Amino acid sequence: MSADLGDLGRFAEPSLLILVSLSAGPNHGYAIMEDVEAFGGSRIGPGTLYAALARLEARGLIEALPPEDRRRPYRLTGLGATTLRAQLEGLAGFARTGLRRLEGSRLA
Amino acid sequence: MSAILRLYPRAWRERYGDELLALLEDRPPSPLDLIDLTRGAFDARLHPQLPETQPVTPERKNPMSDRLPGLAAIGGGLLFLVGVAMIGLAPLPSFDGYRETGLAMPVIFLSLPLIDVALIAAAVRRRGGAWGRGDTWLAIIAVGSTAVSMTGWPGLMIGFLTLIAVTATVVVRYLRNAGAPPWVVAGAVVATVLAIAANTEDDRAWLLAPIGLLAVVFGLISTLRPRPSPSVDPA
Repeated sequence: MSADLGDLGRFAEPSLLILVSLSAGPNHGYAIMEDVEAFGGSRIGPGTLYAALARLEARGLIEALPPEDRRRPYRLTGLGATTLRAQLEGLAGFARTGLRRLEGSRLA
Repeated sequence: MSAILRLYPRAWRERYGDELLALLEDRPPSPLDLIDLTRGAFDARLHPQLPETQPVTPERKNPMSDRLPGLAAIGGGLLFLVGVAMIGLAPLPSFDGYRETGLAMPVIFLSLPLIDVALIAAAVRRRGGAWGRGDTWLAIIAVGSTAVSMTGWPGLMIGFLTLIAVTATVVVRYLRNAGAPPWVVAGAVVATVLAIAANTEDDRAWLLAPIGLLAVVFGLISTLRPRPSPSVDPA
């Protein structure tokens, strides 16, 4: 069973980036921002980050760990991992299809 | 930075406020981040992911008692403004001297203890409803000094000076505890400075008006804003 990120509206993409970041292990807000910037090449603002974190937490896709010096780490839940896998597999299939079609055309 | 956090709902601040502040200390926000935070605050209000906590207190069963301090502050502020208007609109004397203020001073004397008691009651309400001995004494002295000031000379001067001292003490001690935002506190400082420059001999009498206006503004905030709730367990 997995959740649908589609109902997160404009927070769907930042949420996916956050889930990918947390798939490497628990992290707090600042480290997530830095990580997303490093691997995703896109910057998440602090307001967007916490709006997405609140949504992911409310849906049980991530959970908060005890704070460490005011910084609270978050980690992926089982549901979050399943959801992330489903999302990435969907994107991978989408990417494979697009690439195959592009290779079959004369434009590539 | 904590000012922008105040745009967020209380439950949200209690849950995420500390860690967001820590993040902003690690990574000072750019102007774009400030816009992003403002959008985030609107989003948190429009699409709350956390339930607003409802305090379970006896006062909650009687919302009118929650509003009384605010209403008293509004009443006191309006009364104060009436007194200032009576002074400001009174005809100037044809010779050097003070305006004929008539009932203006008694009206102002009545308004100040009302504002004092409103501030004390609002602070007590935020603390959970228990009146301390200091709260009670200050309220009694505020009301008592007004009564003394009505007895004529020298009670007028003794009561007036006592009332000013009590009001200053109450404002310094209770304004923030009563839930006044920082800009109201700053406004109180400005209003006090202006009041010192006031003079009933000329149009500077109107410099007293900001005190009444601030009391009304504080009363409106206190009446319209829900009382704070206990902290949410973040676990």
